[in-house]
Amino acid sequence: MADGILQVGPLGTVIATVLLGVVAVLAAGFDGAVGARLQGRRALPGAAAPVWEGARLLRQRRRTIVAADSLLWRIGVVGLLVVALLKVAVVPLGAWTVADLSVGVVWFNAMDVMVWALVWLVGWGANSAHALIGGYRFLGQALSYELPLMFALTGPAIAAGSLRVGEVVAAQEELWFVVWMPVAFLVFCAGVVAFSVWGPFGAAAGGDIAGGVLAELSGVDRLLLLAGRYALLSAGAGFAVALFLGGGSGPFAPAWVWTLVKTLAVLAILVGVRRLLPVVRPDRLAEVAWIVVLPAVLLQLLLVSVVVVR
Amino acid sequence: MDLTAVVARMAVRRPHVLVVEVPGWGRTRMTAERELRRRGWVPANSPADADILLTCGTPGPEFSEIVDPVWDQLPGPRVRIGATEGDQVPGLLDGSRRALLDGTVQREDAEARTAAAGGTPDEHGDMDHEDMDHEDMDDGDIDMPMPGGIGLAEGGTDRDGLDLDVLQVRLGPVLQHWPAGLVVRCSLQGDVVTDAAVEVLPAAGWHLDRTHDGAGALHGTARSESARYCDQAAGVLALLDLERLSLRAIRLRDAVLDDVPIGKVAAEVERLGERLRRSRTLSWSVQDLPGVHERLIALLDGARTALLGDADTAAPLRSPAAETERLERIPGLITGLDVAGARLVIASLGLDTAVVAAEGSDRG
Repeated sequence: MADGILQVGPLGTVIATVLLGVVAVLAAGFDGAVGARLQGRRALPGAAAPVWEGARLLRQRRRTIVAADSLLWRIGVVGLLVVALLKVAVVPLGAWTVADLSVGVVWFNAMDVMVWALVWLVGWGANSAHALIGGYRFLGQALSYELPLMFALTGPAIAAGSLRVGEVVAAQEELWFVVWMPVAFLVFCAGVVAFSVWGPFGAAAGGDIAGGVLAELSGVDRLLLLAGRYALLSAGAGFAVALFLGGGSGPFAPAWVWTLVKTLAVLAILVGVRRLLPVVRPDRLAEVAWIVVLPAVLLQLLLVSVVVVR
Repeated sequence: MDLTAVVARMAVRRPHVLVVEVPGWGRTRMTAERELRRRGWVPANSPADADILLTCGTPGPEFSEIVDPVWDQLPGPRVRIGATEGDQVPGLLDGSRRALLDGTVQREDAEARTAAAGGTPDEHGDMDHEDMDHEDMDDGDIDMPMPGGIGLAEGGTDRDGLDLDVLQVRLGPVLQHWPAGLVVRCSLQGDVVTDAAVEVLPAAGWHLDRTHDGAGALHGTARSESARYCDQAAGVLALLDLERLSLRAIRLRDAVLDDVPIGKVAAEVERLGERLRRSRTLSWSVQDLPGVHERLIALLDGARTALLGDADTAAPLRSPAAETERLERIPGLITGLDVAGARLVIASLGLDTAVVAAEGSDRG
């Protein structure tokens, strides 16, 4: 167990779940506020969007579709939220963590690979052409983002000499990894946006294919999937803080406050990116990911390795 | 305190509206979109996402045959409305919100649907499957058991010479940022269009003499012609998810329709055009789709040129023959592209289906 990292009991798990929910709702509220401002309305009512939207979807009926693969479809729908929770399990909040796994970094990576299957199942299960195209798009996109994301994750692990998230945080006591691993940090953040099917990497749920993987979802199913996306963004932001931004380190305030503040700051940027960049079609992404991003992140790893060995 | 009522009131704060435009009623659709934005309501992008179905204009029989199943796909609580003039929209939307709140109305609707579906909502959902065109896929004498009565996709050789399922998919007419009434029947392998055929579904009782119908306002003046160009440019930008630029084009569209001084709007249109010409992100995004960037800029040039002419006089109608010719180019342009590319190409063409719908109905 890493120094000063405390594994919390069942109550801690409940708190972590609630906290993830709160952060995800804040993210949705922020997005609603920015959207309202852009359209020339006041921001504050816009921030209430997740509340109205939640009520609307809870009141709405679920749909059944002829010859849909309902089981797989529902697994995909619920899965994103579950995966986000499992990710948060290894993210330390100050000194506390739900699961202080010796392979925390790999765990996170395994969870984001699960997203491949889940988004595909949502696309496949609905028996709908638009949703299916959304599924194809996500797989195409995943081929581009997953490898750079994996390599970006290894940077901090190499530098800390451990796959335990708590030890990665401890290794940043003197210098945050973001300072000398900016490329890995940026690639990781892009990876988070991509596995959350968000903004520039949201082609799988694109408006041009009637919402893609979202096209046939209504009611509580849609609510779960939308919540899952925000939860994935939140979990990713939290992990970025632990891996690159020194976790809970900071003056004056307790560590858990710093973790939350940093997470919300990163999350705000990830959410806001949606309004700044156009959607990147997966085939356009492939070119950049393999020719530019992958070599760049490998160079970053080379640099890290040289520094560590020296 | 009645919890259901509380949730219901919260739920109707931000209804999602699926807007369907019949060829010729672009002006009504634009007004509706504007009203939605003012209220902070959300334009839905699929029937599953919608609480309200708003049809702008009166669809002809073929169009109705498509809109009715779309209505069946709204999950409910749901409301169906139709407008033939922009002025009707605010009142209709207010009424819809009340209807969404009305528990009795919604319960009756829900019970009627369950009854119509034979009382087993789980197995025979009342949702017709809109996206796949089953009849086309059903080759008649297949002895295989078919799930839900839907024919299985057949295999075919894809562009890389591999065997891949061929899906028959109908794109349109109920899609956002899509020319009114346009239907493109595609064969898809994966998400690549391997074959396409185009038709336009006309409005009811459509005829060329449009001074007598709802489209008169839209095609009457150069101002409305210019607004249409801005609207189409906004559509292309929205498909690329360039939200701020798209909103800029929409504001210009509204300004043009609002009788803002011509000189001022024209200058703004030119500035936006210049912005799009220079945008690196934009040109990179559509680099693999020859002509899209140029045509997008041409749309804004068109908007400006229309304004600089005598903006408030009658504009000549586009010739149906030229428009038909543009429509017929679609299959050639989109075959071999993926759906995303195809949609961008179609949106960038700046089609005015109203002109062709008229001829189509005359011929029919």
